[in-house]
Amino acid sequence: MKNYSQFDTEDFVQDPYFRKWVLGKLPPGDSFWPTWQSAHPGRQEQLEEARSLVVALQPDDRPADPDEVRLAVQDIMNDLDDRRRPFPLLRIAAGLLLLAGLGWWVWTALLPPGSREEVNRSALPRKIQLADGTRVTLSPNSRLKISEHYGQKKREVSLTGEAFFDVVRNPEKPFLVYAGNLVTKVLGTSFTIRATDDRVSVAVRTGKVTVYRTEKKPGSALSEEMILLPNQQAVMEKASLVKTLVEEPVLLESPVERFAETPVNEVFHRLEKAYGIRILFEEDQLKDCNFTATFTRESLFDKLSFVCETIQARYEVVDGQIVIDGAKCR
Amino acid sequence: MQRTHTQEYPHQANEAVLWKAFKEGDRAAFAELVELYYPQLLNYGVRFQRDREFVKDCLHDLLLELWNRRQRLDDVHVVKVYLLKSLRRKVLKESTRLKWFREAHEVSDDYAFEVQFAIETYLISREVQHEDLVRLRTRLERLTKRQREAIYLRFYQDLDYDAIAGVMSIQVHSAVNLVYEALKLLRRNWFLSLLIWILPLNP
Repeated sequence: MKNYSQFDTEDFVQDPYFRKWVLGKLPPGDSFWPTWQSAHPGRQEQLEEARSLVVALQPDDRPADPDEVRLAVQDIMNDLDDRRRPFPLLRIAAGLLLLAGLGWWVWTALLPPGSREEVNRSALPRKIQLADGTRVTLSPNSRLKISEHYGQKKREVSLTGEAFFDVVRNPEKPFLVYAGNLVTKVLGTSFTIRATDDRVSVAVRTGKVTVYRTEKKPGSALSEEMILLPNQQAVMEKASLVKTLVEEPVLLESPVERFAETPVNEVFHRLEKAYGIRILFEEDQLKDCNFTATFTRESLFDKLSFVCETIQARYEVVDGQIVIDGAKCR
Repeated sequence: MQRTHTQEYPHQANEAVLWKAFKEGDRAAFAELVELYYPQLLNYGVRFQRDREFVKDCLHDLLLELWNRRQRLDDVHVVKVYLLKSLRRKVLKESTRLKWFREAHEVSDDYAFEVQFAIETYLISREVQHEDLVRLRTRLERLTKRQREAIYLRFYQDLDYDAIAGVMSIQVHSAVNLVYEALKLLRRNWFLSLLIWILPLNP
């Protein structure tokens, strides 16, 4: 046993047994430290100070999710034999192929292509098709890099400028776009990304998109994720990430054109459905309001303004949804 | 105030037994080693590279390489130190490649190590006004990433100074210095003993 009565604060802090006690890592039956503490009332101050130091210097984060760890370990165990000797075999095969005098172009045909870069310097958008059939429309003055490992485990590209992506669905291989300090992750969907030096936006046309930062925000241990649905948009500007709606929401299903003395609650419900955007309002508050109009090709926001003007209400876009604030009609 | 902790550090003898069995091709022993160290390795890796999936890919490859090379491995005394060191090297190497791909500009060989200690979270979340605390906060902000990493390895991964030096590829006396500087910073602040009642213990 160490001579703990000679210990100073510093020594306690450096002592593994002491640290385990402070952090509650000793087995429940171990009462050495409480006993020692009461036997040495004169060392109270050093002990307290040492405890504070140990606690203060613990990293601030959450423990790993047991399921996450279990799955990862399973994955590793499953792959143990698969990859036993791929490399020597591949090398021998390579040697043989070369010796056989087959041209190097055979290689380029057999092996996945290296990282490639597409730049659009023209004045018109350029369409690019990726190996898996995913279509990218690259705007002028924009650049797309395609990972050399594209399609192996993931489908990774990086973008500067603007592009529209129509991604072929493949849940096994997520499609990731790196732009500025945002990562956009999808399984199969269509969306537009605009990335300039100080602003990145991701606007969703169809499907579901996950967006997260590549840089850590001070004070948070985990990266924040944002899930976007059609007509929603994420905007990253001055280090803040905000969910909003796209500038010009598109109709997801055939429009409702005609309203005649229709309860306004129903009008909102039908707009909500047509654009796939959540509209929040007080059903009870607006139950006596009616609305009559015929819409042609107005934008969603024009339609909303029109309805709101009629019933003396206001609307706001909050967190990718529309919030109606109105008074009772009579 | 006894808290149960899910991950108890293994006895070193047990670790050596597992390592020996693993080297002889015992899958169960390997699985046990992996399970034992995975959470700690992941926790370390994400501090260099915050893309969690990326770190998990690195770990996956690292552990498969370990299995494939098992016959050529030395008898390491401390398995954990060996694994932490290998992971560090791998994540930093792969990150440089990844960075080149994700960002157009050239990358330096500088690395990041992100960790926030409980005391910092406390000081930030409370927006402390007391001038001693404000001073402490500014001094903590000035801790270098090397200091942070050394403190993290010492107080979270529970490594001794030889091991820290090994993992970080530095001299033992440098490892000692890195940790001592930080301790000195906090040491003279008597009010810390008041904080213990407010700071939550690490879950």
